[in-house]
Amino acid sequence: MTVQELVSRFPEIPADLRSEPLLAAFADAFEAQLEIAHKPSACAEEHDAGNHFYLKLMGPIDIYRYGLYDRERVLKEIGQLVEGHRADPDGFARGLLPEQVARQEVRGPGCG
Amino acid sequence: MDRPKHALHFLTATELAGMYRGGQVSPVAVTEAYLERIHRYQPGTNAFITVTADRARADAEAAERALRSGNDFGPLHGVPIALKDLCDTAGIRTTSGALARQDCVPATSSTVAKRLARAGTVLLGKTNLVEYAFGPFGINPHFGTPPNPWDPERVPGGSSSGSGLAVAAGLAAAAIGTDTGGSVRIPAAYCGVVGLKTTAGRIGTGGVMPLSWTLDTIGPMARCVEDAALMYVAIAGAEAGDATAHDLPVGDVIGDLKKDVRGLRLAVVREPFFNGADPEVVSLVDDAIQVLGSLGANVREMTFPEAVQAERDEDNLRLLRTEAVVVHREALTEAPDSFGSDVRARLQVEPGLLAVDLAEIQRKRAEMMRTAAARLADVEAVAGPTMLSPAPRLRDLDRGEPHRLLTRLVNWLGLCAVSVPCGFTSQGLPVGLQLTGKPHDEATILRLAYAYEQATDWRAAHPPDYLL
Repeated sequence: MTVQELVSRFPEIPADLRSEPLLAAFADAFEAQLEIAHKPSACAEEHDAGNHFYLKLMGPIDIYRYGLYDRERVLKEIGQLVEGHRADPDGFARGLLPEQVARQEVRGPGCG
Repeated sequence: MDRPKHALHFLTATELAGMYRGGQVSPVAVTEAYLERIHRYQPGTNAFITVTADRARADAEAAERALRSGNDFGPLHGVPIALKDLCDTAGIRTTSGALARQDCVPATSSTVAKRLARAGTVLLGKTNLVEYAFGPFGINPHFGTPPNPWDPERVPGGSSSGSGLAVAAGLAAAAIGTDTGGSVRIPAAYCGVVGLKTTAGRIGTGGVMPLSWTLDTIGPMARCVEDAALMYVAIAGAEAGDATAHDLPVGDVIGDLKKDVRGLRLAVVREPFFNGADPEVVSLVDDAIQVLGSLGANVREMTFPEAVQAERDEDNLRLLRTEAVVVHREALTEAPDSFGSDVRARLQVEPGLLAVDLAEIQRKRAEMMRTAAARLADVEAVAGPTMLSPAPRLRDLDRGEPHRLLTRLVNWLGLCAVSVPCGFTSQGLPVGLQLTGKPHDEATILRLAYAYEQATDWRAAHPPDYLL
């Protein structure tokens, strides 16, 4: 996934982060998860895999948007996600989901 | 659905008070009866997060000794109660329903805990709730979601889920809840008990984990209106060292409770209170209004544009979520995984307010509160359903559709309200009548609720699964 595709999918990504090289690494590393990630409703009581991917992967960016992280901190958080994935791609991706959700089949776009 | 004879656990506080002083039963015996029930039902219900059995026995023995020596602390003396686990209790863990606070033991007690201890109550334990009180249905992934006492497949309502269940199921004589958008009244309606949402500032919130300091309130939950009134009087009013409570007089709530309601003006506001409601709910609430009319209340239809606007616009939730983010800022930034995903989503996915948005929302709200109070000048209360439908099944909770809650607008407009049981649906689920009153006029809505309750027999019904 390119940064452009990522931003198109999640326009809430602030403009000042879009040119960060780290965002390109993030989009590339988590392409599979970001393709099905979607923002949960604040009213939802339960969440599917896509919601969990959103909360975990987009979480630092949301918190940055709130003004609760500064730029340095959000980049550090994104960097840790990318590094964690690089060290153990499958294990890290699995760890993004709670156990009961991970047991359910996760279907991406085009899976029918 | 009759009450079994001699069932100590379904006696009201007033009945207990009479029996204590008549020597028919003692606080220790009643407390033991409650602890035995909690021991039996807690594993299947998670009504409590912490059961304070030792503290309860000590409280009960102290209450008994005091009564014997002529020291009578009043009508709640020796009455076993429960506190929502959002209220700090010195030396007793207070989790706020959150994993991150599961070992948190406060050094001091909340104002509400102190006031109830001073009234001589017996603390049975700390009840379950939605994590940080941030949700309407009673879901808690960390400490278990309590069942609805009338149908275990349904939710109990939240956020004061354990308090609603404990009172309905005879696991406490009364309990404390908190209400930021309906968290006392929703579980009260779903569980079939009385719940009073007080005016903000009426009861000190010191020592209670905030959700939204602008909208947070504390209120009693009980099996009858009189018990709710007794609890309210015990905790309402200014408290030294707690600047969150104002010093407006509480009035003679108990003295006024049993006065008749002839001439009191009761408004029926169809929009928004009845719009979209389940037909059985509408029918039961209309019947209840008719009962109040037959008791002499002057019932009239009224429009209430401020209520319509307050229910429709998003300002309420935007302010609530922004204040919640401020409260949980540290955990959200340092330990976001400690939240359940539902509460994390509520904190994370809503955009924060700009300072100018916040100022504009506060300005609009102040104006709405003024016009709403003026509109209610000619009536004593507004009657309608507490909830549009009975408790939903856990499995049917939708995945993201916004839920219409008629309770939130009451907090937004700065009013008070009581939910009182007004019957059962054909599926045996309780329905609540919401009586909304003017700011600081809890006395009048309790009086109307009491008159209605006395004219009907819904309070005698108890959940069949918890009769014995």
